[in-house]
Amino acid sequence: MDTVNHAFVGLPKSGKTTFLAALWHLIESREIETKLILDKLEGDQSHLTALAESWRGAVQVPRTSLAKEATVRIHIKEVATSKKSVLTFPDLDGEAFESQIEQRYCKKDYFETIEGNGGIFLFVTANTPYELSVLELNELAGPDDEQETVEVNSAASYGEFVHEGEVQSVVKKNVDWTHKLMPYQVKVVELLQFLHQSPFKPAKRKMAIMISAWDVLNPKPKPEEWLATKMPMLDQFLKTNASLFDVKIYGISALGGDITDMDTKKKLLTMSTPSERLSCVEALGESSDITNPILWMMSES
Amino acid sequence: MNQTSNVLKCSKADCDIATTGICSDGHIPLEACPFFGKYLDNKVIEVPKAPLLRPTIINKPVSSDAIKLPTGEALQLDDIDKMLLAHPLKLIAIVGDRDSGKSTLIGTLYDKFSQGNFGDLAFTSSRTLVGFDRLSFYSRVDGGLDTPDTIRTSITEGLKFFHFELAACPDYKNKTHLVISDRAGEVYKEARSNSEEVQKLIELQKCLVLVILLDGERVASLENRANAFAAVRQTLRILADSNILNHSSVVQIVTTKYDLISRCSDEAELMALISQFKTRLTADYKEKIGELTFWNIAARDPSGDMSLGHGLEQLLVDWIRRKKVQVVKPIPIPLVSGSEFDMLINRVRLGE
Repeated sequence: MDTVNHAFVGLPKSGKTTFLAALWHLIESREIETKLILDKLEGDQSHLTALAESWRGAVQVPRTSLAKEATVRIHIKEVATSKKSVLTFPDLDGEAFESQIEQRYCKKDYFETIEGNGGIFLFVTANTPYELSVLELNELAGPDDEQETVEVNSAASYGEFVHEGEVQSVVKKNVDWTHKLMPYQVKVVELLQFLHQSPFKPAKRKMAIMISAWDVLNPKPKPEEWLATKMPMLDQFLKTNASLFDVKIYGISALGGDITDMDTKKKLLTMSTPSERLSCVEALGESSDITNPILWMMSES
Repeated sequence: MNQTSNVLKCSKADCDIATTGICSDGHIPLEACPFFGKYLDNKVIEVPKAPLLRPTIINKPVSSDAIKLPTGEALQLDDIDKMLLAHPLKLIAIVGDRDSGKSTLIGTLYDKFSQGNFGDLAFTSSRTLVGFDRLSFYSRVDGGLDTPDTIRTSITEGLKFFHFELAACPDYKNKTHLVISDRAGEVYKEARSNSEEVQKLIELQKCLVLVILLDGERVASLENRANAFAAVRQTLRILADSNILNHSSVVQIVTTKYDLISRCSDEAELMALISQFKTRLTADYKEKIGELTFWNIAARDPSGDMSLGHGLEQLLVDWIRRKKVQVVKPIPIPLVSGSEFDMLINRVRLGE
């Protein structure tokens, strides 16, 4: 039986590493019943072990040690069918993907991974700052002579301001355009558009949209609704390119909550089964089994 | 922003290259001028209101196994040629003086699709997302400006094109490749007084629709009003006299910044003037042009009274739905030769 490679892609801080840590714990610990199991180990897995340790301790999963790894691969097998797959993480820290946007080059091994017959797990984060327009900001701020200011959440390049808690004055400074400052969803669309153009050969592929940090949302919409509202250009792109992408959208919480909040962290640590921190939301419902997207990817339909 | 690093410098006191991008002595390239690149002693170089466009220079070393990806920048003529080999395009040429709103119109289309469907059309792809984002950047908070602005097209950039592939809602079956041309307004201003120069503007000869902008800001100003109308009139005249416009041509006169007109203290009188202007143009050109229509837009009203892209939706829908050129009299079809871009004129005439 041929083994298929599926690629995990996404910009920096899109949640790939945290997902990997949680996934490794889930399939290695077998705390809860999953339909996927670890098939075999390949190479040095000490970095995966370290990741899972951080995850279990509810501390921020380190990324720097993995930046040195060329590619991480996990061999898995579906229990019911014995079908095998390789999950490939070509660029865990996401810097190579960001480099595709900024420098307009991709690595050869990424190209070879994508050109195979596998699918793509595209990670985007629900914790994306909203990219305000000047018109929107001015509307929120009101006339200049008013003292009240606004609470905003915007990109770091915007300048120094306090965007949590008390409202503060907005400080702005002139900025030159760079690729880095392109809106998040536009970068993601570009990453996918590259796959349709030379040197890649356009081909229909399965794609699981993994909306990470799902736990930050309150209230929680359906994943499809979140994408349509928060990343409308990406949403249009996926719907109008159905001939190229067979898409399913998932909301994923791989941490279980905000681990910088002490109360939340304590709650997570006191769970008797760490795997129960996990959440995978899809149209059919919610479960702790974050292997569900992988199962769908491996299925025939 | 490092204001001096993006400014074209000249030590001649009367050269306004910093704002126009053109050497007052006519040197091309600019570096041929002995004064270029130097500061005049004690002269304060004013930074343009909208920074001039400069391509990002990427100096990071690239490994030998790196594979090149498309730039995403605005397209050049040969890029359009290659695209035509793959699928038909609808080319819209937008003509207008500097600051008339050409780039803002284009950038606002990108902004609208970033927010969702627009005009019952959905975004499918774009070869020029980077180019669009450069145009749109100073409308975002990240650009650091107090009021939204658009980067000005420099004369040194030449002719460029922006691309959208759009799909008709709700089933997304009908898709259209829309290409919009953009050029520095100074070139159009010079060309409307020079029939030789106007022949060099290839986009005007190849387009499906020619959009001529009537600058609403100038119309709203008593001092500039007459010249604003004259600019459109002269453009139409020279294009018709040069046989660039003919019985198959589709021309749209689009009044930009309509928010400024609507807030004029003499709005009623101004509307009457505009109406007279339209009536006169229609009478003058109804026998010469296949179709002449008038539109009003406020692509980006800073006050927010008019929504983003006000009036643009109808314009966009018109461009997309347009299938055939209205041909009043038969046009002899030339022998098919030349590049794919040259052959576009045949596709336009045949309504492909």
